[in-house]
Amino acid sequence: MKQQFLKAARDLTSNPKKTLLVVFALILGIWGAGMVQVSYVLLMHDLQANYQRTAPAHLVFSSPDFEKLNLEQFRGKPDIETAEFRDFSLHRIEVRPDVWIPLWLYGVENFNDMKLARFFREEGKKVPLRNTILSWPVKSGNWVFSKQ
Amino acid sequence: MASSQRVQYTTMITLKGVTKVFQTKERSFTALNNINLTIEKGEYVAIVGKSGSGKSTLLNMITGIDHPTEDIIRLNDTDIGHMNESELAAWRGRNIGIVFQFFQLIPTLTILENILLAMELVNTIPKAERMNRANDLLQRVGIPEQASKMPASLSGGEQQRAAIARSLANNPAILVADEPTGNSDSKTAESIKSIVSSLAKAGKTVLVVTHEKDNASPYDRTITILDGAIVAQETKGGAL
Repeated sequence: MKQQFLKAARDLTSNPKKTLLVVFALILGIWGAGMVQVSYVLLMHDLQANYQRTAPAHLVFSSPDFEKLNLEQFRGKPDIETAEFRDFSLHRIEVRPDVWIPLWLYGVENFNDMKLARFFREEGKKVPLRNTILSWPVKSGNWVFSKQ
Repeated sequence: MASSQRVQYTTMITLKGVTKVFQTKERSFTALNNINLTIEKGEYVAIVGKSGSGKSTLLNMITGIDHPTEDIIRLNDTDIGHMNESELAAWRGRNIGIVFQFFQLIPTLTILENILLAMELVNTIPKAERMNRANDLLQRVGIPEQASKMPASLSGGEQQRAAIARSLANNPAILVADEPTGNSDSKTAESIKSIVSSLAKAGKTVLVVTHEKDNASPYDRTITILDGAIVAQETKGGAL
């Protein structure tokens, strides 16, 4: 093995700039591959955690007249952990002249005690004031609850 | 060696129906077409042909550097046509010494180390004998004083002598030289031919590829190849 090691050693030292470049490229490559791997692991973990945190509903019943539904009947079933109402209506809003986007509005029974299909605020007031809507005013550029 | 003496030879290289087709997107090119050739043990053979005639391809087939499209290739009773790359590399190292036109010496090793590396890779020469053998080989090709020098500090002729010494490192039965004098001046070329001839006389099977016929031919046989086919074979005694 002596001559083979000698060749490898001489190849590395005969052109230090090239060797450094190769070493740098290797480090960059390993770092890049490591970053992708770490990101993947973190992302998978976070996605899993977030998914479980939101407690998505396993079954959705929709009804045009759900005030007549008796939630207690559902809650009383042995295989059902919990059940909640969500008022839902579909609208559209004009964000710029002649530019319309769909708006899905969900009503929640109790913002402070959501057990299913939970969502979390990123900023602003946790419970919006009555008769307000989350909107994106052009001037401030931030989501705010503003009066309807 | 005269052709009348060839009866005492045993077959060293056999090629039967060797064909090599290079395939590109646009077309296929037949570099070798149904080559049938037998070379005897101890024979000194020249393969002559113009550039692009297929002589180097033929040499690559014999050395196992390239695979034929159709073939039977036997060297020293070994069928090399169906060996995989690692088997071929090991077999080549033990049985064939190759001399290239551009030497192919490792530039970061000294001449002596180049020869030692060849022995180390094949591992047939006992470790204790390697240094003496390497020095003997350099003595044999006439450059013992260049042992500790780097290839770049040697002349072309000296580098080719070193390459010949390296090709003999593992005492191969067959020596193959691809245009060994193609990069040398006439004086250097003569000295290299003389070294190769002496190896043939010493009993090695030697194949030399060259693009021009040598008027004062030292070869037992000269095979002329044209457009991938053997078109003539001459021995010292005359045409076959």
